[in-house]
Amino acid sequence: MATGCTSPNECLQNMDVAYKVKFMKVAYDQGSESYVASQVSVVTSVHGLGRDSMLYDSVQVNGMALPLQSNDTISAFVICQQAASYGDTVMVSDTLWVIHDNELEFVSVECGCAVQNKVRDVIHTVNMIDSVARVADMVDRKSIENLKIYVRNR
Amino acid sequence: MKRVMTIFTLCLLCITLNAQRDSVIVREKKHNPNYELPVVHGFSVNADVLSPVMNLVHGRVYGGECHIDLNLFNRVFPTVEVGYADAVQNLGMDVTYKTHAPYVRVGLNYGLLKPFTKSGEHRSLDCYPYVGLRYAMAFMNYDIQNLVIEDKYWGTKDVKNFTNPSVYSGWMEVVAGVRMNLARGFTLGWAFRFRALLHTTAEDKVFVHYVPGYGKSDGSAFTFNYTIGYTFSIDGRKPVEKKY
Repeated sequence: MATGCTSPNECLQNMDVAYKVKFMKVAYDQGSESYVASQVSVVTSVHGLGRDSMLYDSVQVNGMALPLQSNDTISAFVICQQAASYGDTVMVSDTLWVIHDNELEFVSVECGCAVQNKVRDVIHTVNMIDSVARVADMVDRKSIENLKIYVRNR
Repeated sequence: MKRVMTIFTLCLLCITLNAQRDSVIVREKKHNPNYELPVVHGFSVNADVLSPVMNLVHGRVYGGECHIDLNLFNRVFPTVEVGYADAVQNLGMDVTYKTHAPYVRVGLNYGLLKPFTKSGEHRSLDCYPYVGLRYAMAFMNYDIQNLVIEDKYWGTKDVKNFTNPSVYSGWMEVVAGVRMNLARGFTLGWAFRFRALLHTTAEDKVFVHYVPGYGKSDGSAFTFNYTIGYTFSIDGRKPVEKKY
C-alpha cells in the first residue's frame, strides 16, 4: 500500500502514507437521553474507482487506510457495505471522492521519499454513508485519523 | 605672620611627601626590548593541496579551500578558512545526490612553542606545532535526482527530483598540526582534524548526505590537510637567524 520511491539500501522507517478513515454510528442513548456517536464495525469491500484489485474484500473493519493517488489530485473509492434489508443481507455501495494536493517528502537516503497529501474536499454518495467529518486534512506518515464516516442506521 | 609661617610649613611638607612618593615610583625596571615586539607579526595565505585529491578518491567532488591566518604575538593565530565544493554522489539505482556550496571555517590556532626564551630573547619559529579550534558552516543546496515514485495500488510510476533550496549546516573541528617555513616566506603545513557535525536546518541529518567542507555526514570524523602557503611579514623585523 506504501507509495514511495525505491532506494538501494535498507529502509527502517515507516513509509506508509494513507488516508485513515473510521466508521461511526450515531445512536440514541436512553440513559443520557441524547444521541451518542461511537465507532462501529461494518463488513466492507473497498476498491479504487477504476481499479480491479480490492483494498478490503468483505472484511469486518471499524476503519480503513485508503491510499491516495500520487500522480492525480482526485482519488475515488467504491465502498460496499453489508446491510440488512427486509430480512435479507445486501451490499450497498457508496463512492467517496477525495480531492487533494500532493507533496513530495524526502525521508532519507535509505528510504527515499514519500508522497504526502493535503485534502481539500471530500464528496460522497449517500446510500449507506450518512455524512462525513474531516478530522485532519494532512495525510502523511504520522496520520492517525483523517476522516470519520457516519453510516446510516439500517 | 603666624598664618604665613603655617602655610610655608605645609608647602614644605607637601613637597617632601611628593619627593618621597616619586622616589618609590621611579625605579629602574629590568628592561628587555625583545618583549616589546608588535602585536601583529604578519599573516599567511595557505592553499590546501591534499583535499582536492582526496575528494576525487571519495567520489566526484570538485573544489578547494584556502586558509588565511593572522600572527599575533607569534603565539595566537586567528584563522579563516574558505572553500567551495561541488559534489555528486551516486546513491545507487541511478539515484544521485548533488550539492554545491561555499563553506567557511573560523577559529584560531595556538602555537605550542613559546615565542621567547627564558632570557627574553626572540625564538625562531621556523617550525612550530599548534592546536586549534574551528567553527565551520556551509550554506548548501542539495538535489536528489532520479527518484522513482512508485504507486503500487494505483499502478503508476514517476521519476522526480527532490530539490531543497537552502540548508545551513554547522560543525566543530579540533585541529592539531605543524607549520614549517621553507624559504623566503614560503611555508608547508599539515594538520589532523577531528570534526563533529553539530547541527543542520534540514529536518534530519540524514538529509544532508554530503556537506561541502565536511564530507559525508556519516563518514569518518578524522581528516588530514596538507597546505602550501606564503607568509607576509608586517612587523618590520628581519627574520631571526637560526642558531645551531
